[in-house]
Amino acid sequence: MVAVAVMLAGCSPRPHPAGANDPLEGVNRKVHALNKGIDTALVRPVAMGYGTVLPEPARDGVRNFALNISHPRFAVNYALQARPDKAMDTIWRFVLNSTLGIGGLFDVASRLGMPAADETDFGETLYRWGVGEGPYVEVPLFGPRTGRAAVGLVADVFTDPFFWVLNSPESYAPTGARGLGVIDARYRFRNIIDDVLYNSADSYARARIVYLQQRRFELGGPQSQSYLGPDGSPEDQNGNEVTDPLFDPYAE
Amino acid sequence: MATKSQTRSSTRMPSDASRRNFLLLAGSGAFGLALRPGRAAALTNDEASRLITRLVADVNAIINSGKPQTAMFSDFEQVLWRYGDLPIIARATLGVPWRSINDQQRRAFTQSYAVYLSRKYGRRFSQFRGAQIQVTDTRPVNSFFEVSSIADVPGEGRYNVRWHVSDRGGSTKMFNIFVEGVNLIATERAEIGAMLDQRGGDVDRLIRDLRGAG
Repeated sequence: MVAVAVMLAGCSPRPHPAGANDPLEGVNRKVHALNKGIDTALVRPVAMGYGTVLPEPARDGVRNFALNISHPRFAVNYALQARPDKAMDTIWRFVLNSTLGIGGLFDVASRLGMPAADETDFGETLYRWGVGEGPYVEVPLFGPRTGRAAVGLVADVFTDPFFWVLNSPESYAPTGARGLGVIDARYRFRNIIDDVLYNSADSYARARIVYLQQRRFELGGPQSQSYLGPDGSPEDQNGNEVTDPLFDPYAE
Repeated sequence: MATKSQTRSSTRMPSDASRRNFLLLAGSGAFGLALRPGRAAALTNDEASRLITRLVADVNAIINSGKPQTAMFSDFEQVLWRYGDLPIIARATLGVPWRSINDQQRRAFTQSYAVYLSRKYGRRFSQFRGAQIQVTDTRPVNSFFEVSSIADVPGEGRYNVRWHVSDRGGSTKMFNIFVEGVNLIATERAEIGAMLDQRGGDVDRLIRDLRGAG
């Protein structure tokens, strides 16, 4: 798995920190059309129904449950990232919310003031191991990813302890819960997602630029941390996408 | 003056600020930020921070004014002109085509773009009713200032919002906004670029259509 990721990152040119590295655009656009169709026909209607039928406290329960069941996977990734503090926080939170929080329906840990357990994934683990971002890809059903995050998506099947300890059919519970989490998120962020998919001139390009900026920010990546100046930043009048967080439009 | 611009007036982050914010702040310290003293001499941390505080207060007043939507759009457009460096934002958004259009077209594009922005983002205002935005930190970066804030939106969660402020356009103005790392200029640049492509590169048509879009 790691070898694949390294190869993936190695065989593609290191992306310009400012723009999208998208050599697969032709295929990606087809997958985008497919994903958009699935959203229109299935995900969006289900999410809107979910949001209409369930009151907010119930939706909070769904979200808490879906998030809680992912905590063992977060903890494994934190351990792989050599961040024992975060791993321990995550485990404690899981233990507390699974017991006092009745199987994770209630986020007791947050109310008790425990440190926030942030989501992480094997894509972030790879990033911390120094693997490059790789080309931009749209993954069927899952949407925009960096090549690195797409590899992480597959690897996270195996970083989830539930995968190893549960037998079928219980082993499907975490996946089912994640599916519910997706529906909840599709409802909660419906304005932003609708805006990207249905109210933009080119939903593919918009999804790509929004995802890449957000993901790099999440990882605190080279972009967020190295603070390129105007010289290292994209020349905004030369057709490059300006995603350098410290882009300076006056420097021209 | 140069040293004055470097003094930080950082307020404490809220204790439950997300890891992202913390990492960003910690990361920026660790990398020693390529501060270029001397270049941001005229503007101070406090001025940049005050500008954003006032901007946020004005936007909040519009959101909670209870006015009809069209009135909110025009109020918001005025706020954009007052606090934002629209000519600079418009130029950076349009990119390459900006070079080949004349001054009159540039002015027209800037005006249409302001109408477009105020409608597009003004339509989301109902979603932000009751939201709290708190300025948490201001620091000089390169030749401008970055004001960090946390937006607490009921029913959605907390967002990291950063504002870039400069006085190089003649007065102290905001020129870019980042929400969870997603910035206005880059995002709108992709959008406006796609709209221009759809119109065969005809900037005049884009200028006309922008007034009705968004």
